[in-house]
Amino acid sequence: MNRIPKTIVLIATIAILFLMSPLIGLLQRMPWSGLTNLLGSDIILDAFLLSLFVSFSAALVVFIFGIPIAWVLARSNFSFMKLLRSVVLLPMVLPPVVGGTALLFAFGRQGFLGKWLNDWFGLTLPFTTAGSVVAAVFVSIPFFIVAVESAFRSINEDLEKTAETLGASSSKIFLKITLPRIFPSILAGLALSWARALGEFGATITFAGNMPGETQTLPLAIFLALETNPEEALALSLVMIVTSLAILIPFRDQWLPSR
Amino acid sequence: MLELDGSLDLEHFTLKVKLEIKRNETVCLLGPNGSGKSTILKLIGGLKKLTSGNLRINTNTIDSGQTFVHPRFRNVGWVPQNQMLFDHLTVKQNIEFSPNSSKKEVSELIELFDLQHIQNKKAGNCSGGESQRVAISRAIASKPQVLLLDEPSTALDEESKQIIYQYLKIQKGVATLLVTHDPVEAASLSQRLIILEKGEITQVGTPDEIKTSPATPYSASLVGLNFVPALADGLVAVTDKGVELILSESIQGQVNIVIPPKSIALYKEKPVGSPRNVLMAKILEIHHLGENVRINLDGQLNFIAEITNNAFEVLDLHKGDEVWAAFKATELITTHT
Repeated sequence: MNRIPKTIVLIATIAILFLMSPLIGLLQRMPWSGLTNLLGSDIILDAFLLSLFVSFSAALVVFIFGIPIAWVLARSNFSFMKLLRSVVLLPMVLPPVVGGTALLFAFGRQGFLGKWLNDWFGLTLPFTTAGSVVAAVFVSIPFFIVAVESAFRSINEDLEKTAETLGASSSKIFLKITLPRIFPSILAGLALSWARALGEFGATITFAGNMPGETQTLPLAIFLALETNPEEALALSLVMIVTSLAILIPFRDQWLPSR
Repeated sequence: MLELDGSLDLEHFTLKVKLEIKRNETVCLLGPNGSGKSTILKLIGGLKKLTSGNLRINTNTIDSGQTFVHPRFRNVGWVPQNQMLFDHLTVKQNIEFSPNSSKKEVSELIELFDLQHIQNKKAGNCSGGESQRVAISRAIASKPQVLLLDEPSTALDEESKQIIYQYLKIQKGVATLLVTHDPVEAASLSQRLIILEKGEITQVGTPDEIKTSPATPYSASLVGLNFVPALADGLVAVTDKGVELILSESIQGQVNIVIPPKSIALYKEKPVGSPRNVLMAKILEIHHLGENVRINLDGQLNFIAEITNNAFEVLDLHKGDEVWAAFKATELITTHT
């Protein structure tokens, strides 16, 4: 390895300390003695299980819809693709509250799609668990699309064309050639978007509300507890941190190219 | 049997090709870089579409204004220049990838191309020679009518080269088109060479025909000859740079003059006497080829001289030296264009 200049090491150290300080602050204030009791409480358990359900459901939906979107964005040459890409990636930069508001206007009882869903299927999204999943999908799908689209682009098209000349069907080529080659990026994209879904707050509270057991995921529970029971907020935060690390650490090699 | 007669507009020129390859025949396509060789393979494989004309395999039209048969249904085995192996699959999985492949043939090919010991190795970990053998086996396993090989011997070890050449010589039932820039390879594998320059076929012939009467400077350079286009008037021909060459037979009009490198003698001082062509030139490069020394000369004409080691030592030549090159009029081969 090359020797890293001292100035760089210094700046990096400051940045790392900055990034770690909130974590240290949190751990320092953590009510370690009463933690077992707190963690056993219904509120925390419910929020934890709901968060897992919502984030994994969102990841599943993201996986199912994200791959075709990424494929189309990577392989189409139409000029409006650039515009389409910006629209698809918009939730990445949009304040989540704006996203939640927009979702409400689309899928709310009076929204142009929500009305239709309600009349035809009796399906209501706002202020339901399904609504939390929709909000989580909305904010997290761009992370998956970005990762998978660039993976699709990085495949040499001659590879797939060679497979064509060998007489392989397009589904065989996708399953046996394309998919295995982008698999690491799919995992990375899933981990990133899952993490984003787990931490989702703004769009969820706007679109799905904050109902314990139904839409009160960990971040929402933390927000509420902070005003009434700070110790509970700390315990909830710890649960989130541990959950995130448990999922993200195994995937760290996927978005950091291994040496 | 493959018949191609058509054109394709490319960025810098239009590719115009007319060629025919029979079953059991191997034809070599030679040409400088960027002449459109690989593009011809892509046209046949269905990776590119003809602008005009048509392409037939066994009398079935597979590309014309009206028809375009998808690569999947063409029965064309394409071995691209960088092999395009499926790196994440094993050698065996690569070879049996085609739905047209049969277990029996796959194992025969593995044996024929000496891949038994690496059949379970990931294709991504194969050496250059191994990769090329896998790529060719994979294409053959798809039971093609036409086999397209794009520079198959580039960066190949001698063993792999021999295995591949051996196969190409015994194969049956396939029309093979092989792109190469190596004239020795072309001559050893094929009785018919096609020379392609800037998208146009400039010569078709046996290796011998190309050696005795190259049609262009490129053809001549392939067989190591000096090639000079000139305008002849009787016993004198003038090149486009104004150099006068003395001929042994009277001829009129535009001619191609071939100067065999071995017919050129080099001198430190301007030779006097016998009626021959004498030109001053500077030594650009010196190549030692066993008994002989090949010298690239630059001056009024660019050409190659081949002299014996003995002569080379006596003359004490070095890169950058100025020498006199002389050759007899009777040694020149002159053909009308």
